[in-house]
Amino acid sequence: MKNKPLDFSSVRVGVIRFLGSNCEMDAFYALKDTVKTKADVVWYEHTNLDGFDALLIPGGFSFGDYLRSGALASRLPIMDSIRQFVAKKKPVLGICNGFQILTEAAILPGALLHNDKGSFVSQDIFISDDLGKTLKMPIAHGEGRYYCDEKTLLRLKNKNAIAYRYSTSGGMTSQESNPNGSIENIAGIWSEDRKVLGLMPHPERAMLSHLSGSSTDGRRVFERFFEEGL
Amino acid sequence: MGHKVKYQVLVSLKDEVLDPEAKTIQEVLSKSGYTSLKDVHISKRYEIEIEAPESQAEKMVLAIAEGYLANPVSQSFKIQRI
Repeated sequence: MKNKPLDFSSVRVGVIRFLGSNCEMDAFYALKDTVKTKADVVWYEHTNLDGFDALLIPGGFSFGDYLRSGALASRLPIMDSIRQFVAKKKPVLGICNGFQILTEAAILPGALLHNDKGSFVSQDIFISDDLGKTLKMPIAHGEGRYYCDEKTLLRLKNKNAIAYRYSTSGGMTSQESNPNGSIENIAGIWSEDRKVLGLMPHPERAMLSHLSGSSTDGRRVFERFFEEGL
Repeated sequence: MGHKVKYQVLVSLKDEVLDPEAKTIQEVLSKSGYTSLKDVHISKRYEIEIEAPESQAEKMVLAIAEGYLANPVSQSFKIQRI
């Protein structure tokens, strides 16, 4: 791990709000009050992203999740700005619907399909990160089953790009700990340059113990994202 | 008024991708006595009307199906003139 002090106070993060986003304020306060970055909520029609050091695409149901979840949002002009942002090697974090948008835009590989049991899941789960640390945080999604073909899966493994897997509290990835049928328990992935991170769990809902029960593990996701990406 | 051309686009999950909805329907039908039922497959059907010369309309409906209606990672599509 890079040996940097965890001071992100000079980092300005743009939180993209689409029609139908609903986690943008949780993300905004998580950044501003807990991670202590600068943060602004940006309406998706505002396509000038100059001045931001990082972007966050929050959860929700952008454009009603019509067509497929994240599909309509991923085809809007702001995505051209986000692609340019990614091309400049600046970090982008997609949470839940944000992850779906990033895969629909093919900025991250694979797709997020209807959960294998056919129902929406809303519960606390455990994920293990690529350093072996186990984190507890909530999930809330109907379409979170990560899917990709064999070739893509092999590439994810070879590039060490599987960021998070659903696991037991002890860090074991088992079928029982997989809430949605994701291939190889995948809950989140990095881009190959580790600047873009997408995950289905909600770190912004696991920041403060008095709001999220016992878990403040969401902080670790944000710290990791900024450590890798900045 | 220009020439109107109408298409249907059928979008479905690729065969190798699990469709929980289709599988659940199949299970319930089988348990309801339709024991010779072997498979249920679900498609989403879009009707697209384009006012343009046919060669142009064909290109347009293909671009819409490829670029929007189907996700190449998990879905396939069929276009039919109707």
